[in-house]
Amino acid sequence: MNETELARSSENESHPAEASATEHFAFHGNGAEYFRIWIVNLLLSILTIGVYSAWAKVRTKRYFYGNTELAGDRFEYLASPIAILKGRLIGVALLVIYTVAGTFSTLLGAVAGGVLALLLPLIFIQAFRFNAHNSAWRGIRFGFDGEVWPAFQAYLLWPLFGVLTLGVGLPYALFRINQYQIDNHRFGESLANSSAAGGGFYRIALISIGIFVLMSVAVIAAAAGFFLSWFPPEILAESVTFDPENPDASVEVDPAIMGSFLLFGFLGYFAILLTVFVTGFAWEAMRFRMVFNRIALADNRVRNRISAPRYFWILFSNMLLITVTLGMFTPWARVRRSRYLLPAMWLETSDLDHFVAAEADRTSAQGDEIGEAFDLGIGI
Amino acid sequence: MNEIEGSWFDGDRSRRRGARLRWGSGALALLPEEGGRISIDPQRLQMSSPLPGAPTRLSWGGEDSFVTMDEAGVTAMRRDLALGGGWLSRLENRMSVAVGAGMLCVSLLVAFAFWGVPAIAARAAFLLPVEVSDDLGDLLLGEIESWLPPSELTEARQAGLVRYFTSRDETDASPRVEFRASEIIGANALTLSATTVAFTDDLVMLAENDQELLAVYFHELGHAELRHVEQKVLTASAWLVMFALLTGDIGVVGDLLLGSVLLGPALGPFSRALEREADAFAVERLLAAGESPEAMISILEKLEAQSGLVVSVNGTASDENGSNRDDPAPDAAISEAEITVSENTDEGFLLRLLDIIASHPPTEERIEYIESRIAD
Repeated sequence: MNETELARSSENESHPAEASATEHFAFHGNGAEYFRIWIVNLLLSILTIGVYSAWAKVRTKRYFYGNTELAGDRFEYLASPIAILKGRLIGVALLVIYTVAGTFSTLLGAVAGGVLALLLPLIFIQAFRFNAHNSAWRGIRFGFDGEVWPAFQAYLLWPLFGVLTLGVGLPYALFRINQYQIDNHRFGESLANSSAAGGGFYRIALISIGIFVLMSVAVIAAAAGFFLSWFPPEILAESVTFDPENPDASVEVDPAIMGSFLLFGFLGYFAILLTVFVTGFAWEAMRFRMVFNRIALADNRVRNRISAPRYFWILFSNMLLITVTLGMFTPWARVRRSRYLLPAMWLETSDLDHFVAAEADRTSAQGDEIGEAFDLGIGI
Repeated sequence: MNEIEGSWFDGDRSRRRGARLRWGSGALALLPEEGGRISIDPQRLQMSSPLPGAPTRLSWGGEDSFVTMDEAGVTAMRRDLALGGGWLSRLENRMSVAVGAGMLCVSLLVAFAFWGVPAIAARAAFLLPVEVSDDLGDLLLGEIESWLPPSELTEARQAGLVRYFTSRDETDASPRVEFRASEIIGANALTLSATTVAFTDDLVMLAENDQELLAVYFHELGHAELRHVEQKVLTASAWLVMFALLTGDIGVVGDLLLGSVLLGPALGPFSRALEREADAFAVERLLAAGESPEAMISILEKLEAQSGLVVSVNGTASDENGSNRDDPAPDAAISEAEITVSENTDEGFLLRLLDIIASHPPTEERIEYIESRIAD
């Protein structure tokens, strides 16, 4: 087909631009099925001292992509495990160099750490490019065209700015990272674009901080109440010897009470962890909802009706269940997350039949040679 | 002739076209719904490995691909065209394999945690620079400062004991010996790192003669020279890392845990195996120094006699009172709490719990061992 024919045929076939349709994503995976894949992956990875983990990653991603459906067709993950293995070997080598340098001299370790930090943007670019190039839908590959200097700005300079401004600039840095990631992605030749604004990141950062403060206050209040009911003042007074005349003398505590103090301290420690997790998950739930409501791909728009509290609850309860089952719940947790997120997302689209593959993706296997150096968990 | 149904993508546009893939007697062809026939060289056919629940993708060198959900059809095609593969998905499809793999994974992890990690830690402990042991000793002394106020023994008595210990000790680098007064832990001695041991005043008082203290010193020296505290700390760190990996993305937790919870295992009891090593070490040294291991028996009996009074930190000569467990878990609440348990104080939920967990290493067995060494 030559160009004129193509233009004519698309005029004939495509719907008028204003008639936009809604195409929902769907997820068909189930926990028991993925558990069997996961446990075989785990066993083979252990038996091969980690070498199989590259194949395990491909099977995992193929399972999740292959069970994700849009407009009747499943997504595809096309990476070769060997490429991932190469990337991981490079990652391990970098870490070994860094560690060995550190044991020889602190200066050498610092230099290696600095070099590693400078390499980080390159590692990110390679990971995004590899992942995008190996992700496809209806036979068309995604792509990532981010360049080095903007990556350097997004991943090093803006976070540095965030730290130098004592955290005030951090939401803005996260906004810049988001823009870099999304705006450099494409599907075939169609460029992705994020209309998220810096203000949105400040809004969710403020809510997260609010949640953190409220939870901290609640934890401290609960701890104080609990403490006083467990150790009434009269018991404390009896079991703790402190001489006000002689403040230098050490405070003596009844050993029996001391044991309870320690247990109490341990519970308090978990309360702090809980606060950190709740805040982190709340941030992630709000961020996901915001970011995936503001992505455009040519004249298609990604939208969702994810409820941030509901998504938060899934992340939080997944963590609890994974912890109490010592990891065995992991496959169900992952499936549960996808089962909630994907059906709550859709594409506002006029035409899904005419995305065109990028010429570069066909001629060269750019991004295909070496996989992710570290498992960055990057996905579409 | 066999065929499977699926979707055909040309790799140029995101348009799906229905098609069937037909094979038979060495020939292979794509039959689009819109008509026509594209023959495929079976030699160039590439098929994604079967994966339960996921579509199978076939390509033949160009940009085209054919995607199908027909698992049974794909299996038949693999068989007919002798494409092989598929053993992974057969494993992944069986619940019995999953259950077996699960049990094998758990056993491997448990075996690694309880045999592999301590074995590696036992070697790795000797690779640590001496500075690490110095810092660890300082850190732990600082942590338990409140239980261990300064000694009430005279300077001369302390210095005399240290001189006596080091004069009977063959090693070039003797650990530093600290003396502390302690009501809480009573008559006891502790090893805090490869370079730090501590005696309580009560123990010094309890001993009938300095030979008994020397026996205790050699026992602690055994823990120190064999780097038992370092081994415990390394084992606990490895367990924490394993726990973090097992329970998924809890990197933050890992950092926090590594910072604080390690103190618990460092101060917690030694395993029985480590105690036996330290006993054997002490007997060797006593014999080498021309002393009778009888002194060790007599101090053990004295500590046993005042049993019910104290439990030790770090499971030392006096730990037959119940602080010792095989395999200390990286569990700060329990390990740290054990420091303070004393059986003659109030019972209470926590103390009872600890008593249940504690295994009582038999003093008799230790005495029997020493006697057998004397007999040799």
